[in-house]
Amino acid sequence: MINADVETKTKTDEAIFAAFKGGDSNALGTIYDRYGLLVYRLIYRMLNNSQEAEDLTQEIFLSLQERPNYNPQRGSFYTYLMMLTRSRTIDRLRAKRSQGKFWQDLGKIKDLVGRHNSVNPIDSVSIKERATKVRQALESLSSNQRQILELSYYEGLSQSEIAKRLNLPLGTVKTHSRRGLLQLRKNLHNLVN
Amino acid sequence: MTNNSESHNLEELLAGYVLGNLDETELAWLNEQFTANPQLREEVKQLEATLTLMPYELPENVPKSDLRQAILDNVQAKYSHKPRLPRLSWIIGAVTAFSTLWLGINNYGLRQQLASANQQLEQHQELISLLRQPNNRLVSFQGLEALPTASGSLFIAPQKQKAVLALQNLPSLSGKQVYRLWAISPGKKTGCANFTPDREGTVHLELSNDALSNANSLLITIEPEANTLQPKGNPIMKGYYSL
Repeated sequence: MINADVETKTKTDEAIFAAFKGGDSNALGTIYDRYGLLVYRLIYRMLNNSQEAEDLTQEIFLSLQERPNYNPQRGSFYTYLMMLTRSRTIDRLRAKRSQGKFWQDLGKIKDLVGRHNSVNPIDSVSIKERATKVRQALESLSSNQRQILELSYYEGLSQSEIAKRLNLPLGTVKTHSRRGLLQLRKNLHNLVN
Repeated sequence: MTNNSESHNLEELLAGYVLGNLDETELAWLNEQFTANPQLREEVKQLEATLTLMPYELPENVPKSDLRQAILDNVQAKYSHKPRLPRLSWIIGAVTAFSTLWLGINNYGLRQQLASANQQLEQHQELISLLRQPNNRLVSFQGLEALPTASGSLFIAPQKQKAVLALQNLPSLSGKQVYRLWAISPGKKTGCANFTPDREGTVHLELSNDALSNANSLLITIEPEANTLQPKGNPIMKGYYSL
């Protein structure tokens, strides 16, 4: 049993998901242990409602069983899961806000779900270590870059909406968000690869 | 990636692509770059992966309920209800339903055939019974000039007071017109039956008419309407007693 646990813990996300897909329902528990809280926190951040975040987290994990669309050839399981989560939460936000146009801009990001590399970025580093690195990486951005990236990522705002909210020219917002992401990649190079 | 201005611009556009904030011109230009250099897709993947790391910065909130257990319970419940058996049972159910329907239709068809066969058997038995009667008479019919191919016969069983008329090659009629059988006896023409042929031009008719037994000869005419008292049309067939 102990050996089995150790063996499970050393398996890649992709291998665990394959086991789950093959009928091992306990494998979903392992996936939850690794990323369940991150999924919940992302949804909670976006919806700002703990009950809705719990319900949607559960829905997303169950959808892995009902529609196991993840394809390892297309990228890491983690990236797939988080993009799926964000995409679903944006759908929920859309239903709540019932606005139209700016969601079109989000479509491009949503469409990217499932198209990622097969690198498992966080295989051997603990959640806390990764959290520290990500926070440090974000702190190294300019306040505008970070704010714009967060408004775009968590609140699903379009660049023009962000420009309006922050009272900045649209071109400036775009430049900040793009350079912010490039800087973030540079800072998180080790985790991404 | 080099540091010249073009690559810098390319990198920013790749980031804009992942963020979904390219305008049409930028997107068109970048698509050309993708075509020319498929390796750029790898850059896109890395930027996407970077973006999905952001939730690590979030405050360490935890769900109020035991979400892990709730998810696993749900999954287990679905595994125990969902697996292949229900699908198999659905298929079996569908096959059974279709089989039942097919058998039902088939059974109905067989019953119809059986009823039809019984009816035919009764008719044959009745005919045999008629044929066994003494003093039976047979009238042979032949078409006259207007209908040279028409033919048939009338079987008369006087003791049973029954007769069976069978004709063939009769053309169909229009409007209210009917064929009419007449029994001819000295000084008298008695109308015995009206009839029309089926699609194949044949007639099978059972009659019960005393006049038939006493007739010297028989005629068939085309009448403008049914139940005429005297023949209005010309004879098209004539019957001769052959037995």
